[in-house]
Amino acid sequence: MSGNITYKEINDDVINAMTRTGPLYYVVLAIVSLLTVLLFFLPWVYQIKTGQGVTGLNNPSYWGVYLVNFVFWVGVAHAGTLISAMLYITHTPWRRSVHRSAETMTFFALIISVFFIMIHMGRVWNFYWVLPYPNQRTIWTNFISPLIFDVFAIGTYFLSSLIFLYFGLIPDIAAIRHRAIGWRRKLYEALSLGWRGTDREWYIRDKAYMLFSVLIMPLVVSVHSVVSWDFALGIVPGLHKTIFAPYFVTGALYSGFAGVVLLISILRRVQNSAKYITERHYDKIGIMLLALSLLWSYLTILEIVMGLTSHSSFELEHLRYKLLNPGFAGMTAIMMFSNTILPLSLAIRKIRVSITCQCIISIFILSGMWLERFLIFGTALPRKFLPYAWHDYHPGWVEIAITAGSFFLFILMFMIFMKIFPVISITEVKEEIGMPTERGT
Amino acid sequence: MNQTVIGIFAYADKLLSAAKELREYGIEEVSLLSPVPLTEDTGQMNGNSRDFLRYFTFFGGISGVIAGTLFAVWTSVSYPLPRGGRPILTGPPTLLISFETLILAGILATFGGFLILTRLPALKKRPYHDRIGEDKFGIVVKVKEDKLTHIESILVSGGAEEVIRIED
Amino acid sequence: MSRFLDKLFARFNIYREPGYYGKYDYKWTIVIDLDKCDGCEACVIACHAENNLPVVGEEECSKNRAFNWIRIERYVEGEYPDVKVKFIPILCQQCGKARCEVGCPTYATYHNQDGLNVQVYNRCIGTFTCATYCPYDVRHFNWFSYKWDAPLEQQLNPDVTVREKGVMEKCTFCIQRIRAGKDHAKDEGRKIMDGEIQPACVQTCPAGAMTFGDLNDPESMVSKLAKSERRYRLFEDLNTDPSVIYLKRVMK
Repeated sequence: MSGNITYKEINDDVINAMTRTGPLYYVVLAIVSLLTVLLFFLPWVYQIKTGQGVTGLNNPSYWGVYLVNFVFWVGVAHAGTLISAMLYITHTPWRRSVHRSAETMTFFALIISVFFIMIHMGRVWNFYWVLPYPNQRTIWTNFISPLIFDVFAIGTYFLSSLIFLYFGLIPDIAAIRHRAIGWRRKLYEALSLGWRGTDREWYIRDKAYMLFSVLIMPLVVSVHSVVSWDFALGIVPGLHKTIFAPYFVTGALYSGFAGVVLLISILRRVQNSAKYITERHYDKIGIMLLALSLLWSYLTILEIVMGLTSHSSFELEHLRYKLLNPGFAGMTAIMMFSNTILPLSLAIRKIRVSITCQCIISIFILSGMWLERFLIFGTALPRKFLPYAWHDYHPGWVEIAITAGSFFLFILMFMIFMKIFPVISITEVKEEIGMPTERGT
Repeated sequence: MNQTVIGIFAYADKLLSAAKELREYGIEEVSLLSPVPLTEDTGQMNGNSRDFLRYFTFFGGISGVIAGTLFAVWTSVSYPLPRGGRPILTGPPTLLISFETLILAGILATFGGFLILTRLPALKKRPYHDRIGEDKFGIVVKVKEDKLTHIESILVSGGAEEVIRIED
Repeated sequence: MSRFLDKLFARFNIYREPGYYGKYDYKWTIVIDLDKCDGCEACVIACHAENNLPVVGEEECSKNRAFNWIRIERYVEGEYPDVKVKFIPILCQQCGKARCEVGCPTYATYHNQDGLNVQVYNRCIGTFTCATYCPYDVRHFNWFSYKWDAPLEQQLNPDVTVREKGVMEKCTFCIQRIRAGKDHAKDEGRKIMDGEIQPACVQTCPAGAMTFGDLNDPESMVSKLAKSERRYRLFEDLNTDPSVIYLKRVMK
């Protein structure tokens, strides 16, 4: 970022991005809302009314696309916290313009993943029974069940990322509230809690931010480990592996970073923030993607090799199904290409700083990671222990519609967010420019 | 009679030198308003009471661990139901639940501590100037009537663009 | 003070014992003699009649959603005319160290004092964890709220609930009959005699391949049959401690 930007310019840019909306925004918003309702909510209501039979699930394959989506969205949620928290601890300068959008991505992805937990349940109206509270059923929840670990982990992560997001927003809302009118003014004045920017407030805020970051980092690792243990604690041959916890965490960070790249590219174009999100950001995020891609590839190959040397006929059957069955072999090939071979091109600097290239690679990575989770479920469960019970899994129309609808729901939530709250972190960008002294900044 | 005065500055170094002058003159309660955190040792200004935040986090975390362990242990023991051939009191699940509640309580306690220590939300209107959110810096001093003009002259000679008197 | 601590440690040790075994009254077991089983599936039909199982229809069966709490698995070897078919009835093995019980978040499946792995329909919220964890694939899900057209609803067993959609279910060793038997025995002030209770499948088997009883009782038929040299249990190395003992087939 060049040092020629003034503080006032940053405020004006952010406010213009929030208030200058052309008719295109409203048209896109209407289309996205319509698609969300049609593809996400209506099929879900149909499924609640009719029963889970409208999906493609069957006797051995009881977990399908819904849990794939759940794991996918929880995974996407992790990179936001990584960028905000871990890069804050290491005092990385390029985090400043992108961390607000990354944190928002985390929060909305978590909302969608909680939706998917509810969608995959058979009796959703009793969903609150997994929460441990004293009740007249005289029963508590089963604390050795991995789903209860999930409730605690994802609940904690949800609250923590909400607090983290809000906490970072307080000074930014305070910076723009005096220019707002009407309902926005009331909203900003309420949410900014009367923040003035005194030295005492900044000091305590910086200390609190560091404490939040330090607390949230182990939470990120534990949340996706807990999600992976949902599957690893059963004795199903393809799922019962100790490598699952690091494998899933790496996959989560990987897909999350790809999501961040797509998100900041779209925001950069839509909000004209090219001077805040520069080549340097793409360069650094590209290196992170490359590193995560190498780590992910290593863990995938490790998983396959461990299966091959396991002397368990069930495990070998599952691997044979995954790698040699025509449909799944094709999917595995696409997955390895998208996640391992294509991101190797990020080693070249010219590709890293080109926004189009990074967007294309990110789309491939996101599809590849979704396919990876689908491969885990779609090959492990249909080939469980007893051969008589083997049966393939094909997603039904309800599942495909809800999957597509979840992406539109995410876009809808983000479109509404970006018009109400500043997506670029105003105070942190100002911090990066430096303080205005008489001789210059 | 106390009077609150804000001096608005455009440059940070002028702000800091004016603040030092005011402190040398003898005023303790000097608040600096800024759109970004000031990087000098403003933390040392009002004493050690500012380092309380870590105690909030620590005690929040401890209570989180105790709450989580109690949850897992006490509820399993109150209604012992055999499941899975595993003992009623188990090691790893209890640890995991306690860890999650540790983080949860730690974060909530830190946020609560932040609100308490910065005395937010501000229910009464506090001295502020709108341009602080954009690019101006400010000094807020509360002085008696007799010293008022002297303070104002320090501010103006220090480089303040405006000096505003705020009615209480 | 030390007495209090002793009591505390004693309680602690009870709770640390795997399986909390002190609680069980009986250890219900089924012994299935594969020599005698000829795959007639009379047990399947009896189970349907006794436990209000719906007939799901051809389309659902083609999606592998057939609703049989006990199913006869057929493994065919060889080509015509040298075909060999092996049958094995698979029902819920009522594992002592059940994987399904570990996964349920709401205690909808747990081990009751009869040593049975029970399913409580009221508590089930349909997370499918138990069904995924089961190595024998014996759990079935109510994909829809199945209906019985008139007058078929008149043959429903009043002792057994009719489940709504979204609930998992599985073989219960006809717990309604076990409960009735226990009540009857308690009225007469005795324990259950061997052979007094039989689940529907055991009662119906025309070849007499299935035997039901209490393994804790050394005089019962199942205890004597369980000592046979042909005995094995399914997937013993998975450490699930199943309560169904199979006797290997010797006849050609």
